[in-house]
Amino acid sequence: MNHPRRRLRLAALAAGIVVLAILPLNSTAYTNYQIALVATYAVAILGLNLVSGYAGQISLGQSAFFGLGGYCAAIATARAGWPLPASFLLACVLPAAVGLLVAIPAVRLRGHGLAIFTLALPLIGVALAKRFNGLTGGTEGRVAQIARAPAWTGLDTDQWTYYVVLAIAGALFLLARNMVTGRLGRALATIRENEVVAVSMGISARRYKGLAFSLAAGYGGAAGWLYVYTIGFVSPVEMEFLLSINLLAMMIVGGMGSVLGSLLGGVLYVYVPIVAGTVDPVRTTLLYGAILLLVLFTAPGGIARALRRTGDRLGDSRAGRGPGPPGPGAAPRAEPAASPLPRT
Amino acid sequence: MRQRNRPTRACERRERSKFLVLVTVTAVIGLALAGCGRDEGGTQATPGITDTAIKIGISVPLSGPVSDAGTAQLGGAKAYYEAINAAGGVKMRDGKTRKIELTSYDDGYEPGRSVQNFRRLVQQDGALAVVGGLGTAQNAAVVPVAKELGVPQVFVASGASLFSAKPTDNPWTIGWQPTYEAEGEALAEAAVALNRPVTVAVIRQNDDLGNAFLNGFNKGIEGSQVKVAGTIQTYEAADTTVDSQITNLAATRAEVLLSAVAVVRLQISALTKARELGWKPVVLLPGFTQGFSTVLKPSGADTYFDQIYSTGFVKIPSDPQWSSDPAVVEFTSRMKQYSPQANANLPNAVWGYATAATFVRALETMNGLTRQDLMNAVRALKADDIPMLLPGLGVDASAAGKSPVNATRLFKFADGRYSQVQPS
Repeated sequence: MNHPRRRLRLAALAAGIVVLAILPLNSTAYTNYQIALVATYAVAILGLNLVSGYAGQISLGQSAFFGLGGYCAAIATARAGWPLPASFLLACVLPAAVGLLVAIPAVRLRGHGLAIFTLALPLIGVALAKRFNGLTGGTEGRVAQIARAPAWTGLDTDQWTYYVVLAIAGALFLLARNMVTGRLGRALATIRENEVVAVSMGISARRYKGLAFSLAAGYGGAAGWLYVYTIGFVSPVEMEFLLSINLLAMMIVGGMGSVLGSLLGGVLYVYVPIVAGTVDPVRTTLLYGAILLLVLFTAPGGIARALRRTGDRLGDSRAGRGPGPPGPGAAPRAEPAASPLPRT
Repeated sequence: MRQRNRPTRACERRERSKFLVLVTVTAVIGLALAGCGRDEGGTQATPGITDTAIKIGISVPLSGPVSDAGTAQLGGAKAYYEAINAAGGVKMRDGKTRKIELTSYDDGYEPGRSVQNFRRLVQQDGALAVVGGLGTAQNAAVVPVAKELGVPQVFVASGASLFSAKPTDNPWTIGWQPTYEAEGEALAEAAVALNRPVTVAVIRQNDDLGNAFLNGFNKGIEGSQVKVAGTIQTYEAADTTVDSQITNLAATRAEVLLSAVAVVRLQISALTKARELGWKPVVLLPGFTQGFSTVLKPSGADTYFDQIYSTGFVKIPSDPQWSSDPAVVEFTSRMKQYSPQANANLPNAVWGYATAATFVRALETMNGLTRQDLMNAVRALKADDIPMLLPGLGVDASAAGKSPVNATRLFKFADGRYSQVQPS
């Protein structure tokens, strides 16, 4: 975390942004939508990471918020004719409010109890989405082509979608990064490690856990909105429990308690099935599982942590120094990644 | 970052130059990329079609809970196309014979992935059309994309009416198999044929699928002596049991039970409960949950109920009735040769196969080689010799608003198998 390293990282970030900004002008529409989807799922995983990775509260309900955000986008924009920013706000606020409501009883539970409690959310969500079929379109889902490139941009819809989704996702990532490196991150890390200690230090465990829950739900809702913006469709399938499990798995493989890990999780969620499918379309699931296991065996703390370690080692050997004491700013971010599973 | 280690001046300079190099390289690559401009794929007159080949795509679940059905659907289609290719290819009206290249992707039964697969097949692989994808929500999500891109999404494997219902709104989409309404209507025949005043107890899935069944059934009993009993029971696909619903229905002592349950384990639960309660109605089952070994035997329904009816529109390969039928013999041998990994006994294999045959028929009647020509051929298609369809059933895609295979037949269960009820 010394000065040149930081500058190098900034340079890498700038390079990344330049590449991402130019990429959609040359790639196929398919690739653009795919990268937009990566960003979408990364936001959902980031939200899950806030509550599960940073605060150590296992949530199996992220897909319910994802779906809720998606329905907000589809119904508010495509049906009620709201402007896009308003429906985006709704897609963040409504799931966050529901998340807060859920958090009131949920913060009293721990470990398995909490997991089971959150498991109920997708189950209820799917049933509700099917029941209110006048609003949601039932099992057939609701088509909502809400992305349109304004004429002045001269862009195609896929390029416009790409920029909008990546800009929103980027802003949400920046926001989350600032939150977890600050007071909130430290408070959540303390709660995760030892709730009693946290309370004795004057950190209200319930309030912070509730906040983490609500933030996670809000991020899930935002991701759902981005999904509908990209795919143009939402159905009860998007709420299903299986998505929650997949998001959780990707979060663990990408890196718990790591912002970068959330991004990697999104990349894996979209690209691993595609890679597995090109090897053998009939054995996609098997390969998918094998790849996940392989990652977990070789990098038990997640890919983000393995990358950081490799980076540290390389940086140290190049600079000809031993591993120095980590800077104080790095502590809250590096620590969560140190525990492969939350201690609850 | 309140405290920083002070790096040496040399180190700082080295890092700064590294930074500059990185920025320069990025800028150069960026400019080079921007200069390329993107290929809009407009070089070829008709994407997906050459003098010797036709490229088409399919998106089915090859992983996840319905991977069996998806694998069978794909296997059936593949078997038909491969057999056509082995015989030379498709003879088209421009005098050329073309082979079919089928590209398939797994969607895991997720609508988001089917949309991605559709784009990939069209925008990346340059497919002429996407044919015979499986699933209602999965294909409903694709409908607007097909319209936006102007690419045929034809012969969708779903019983939902939406795919064929609005050809003017969705000009690039068409379904294939009979709708759930048609199935409900066929089941009504069994109740009407009792030819006396009867009441029907109904349990249906609490969504549009269940609704479609009931609507079709109501249409079928119109003007007859059949009445639907007071309260219609519903269930959710995620329910673990339907015991209480069946108990309520049994209390009505209705003569007929329309058990429009689309989930195998719940159908077992429903029939088992009715048997335990000593209720013995005439049972009407949807095609999803009619299986002898999957539903009737485990629930003990095969020996308990006197009359069980269901529907069907294709020949079941394992049915001894068809053991010497030339189409079935050909199907079985082609499945063994080209798609040994797919379960040929699942209805999806037969659907995939017959769908492929329908599509080849459309290719043969194309006037011209564009996607619009293909849609024109599809919408004018009439064929009564599609392999594996039941005798008397054919494809008629010209009737606006109806699915191409727009009738289904009533089957009665007896002695361990279903046989077609001959229309009176």
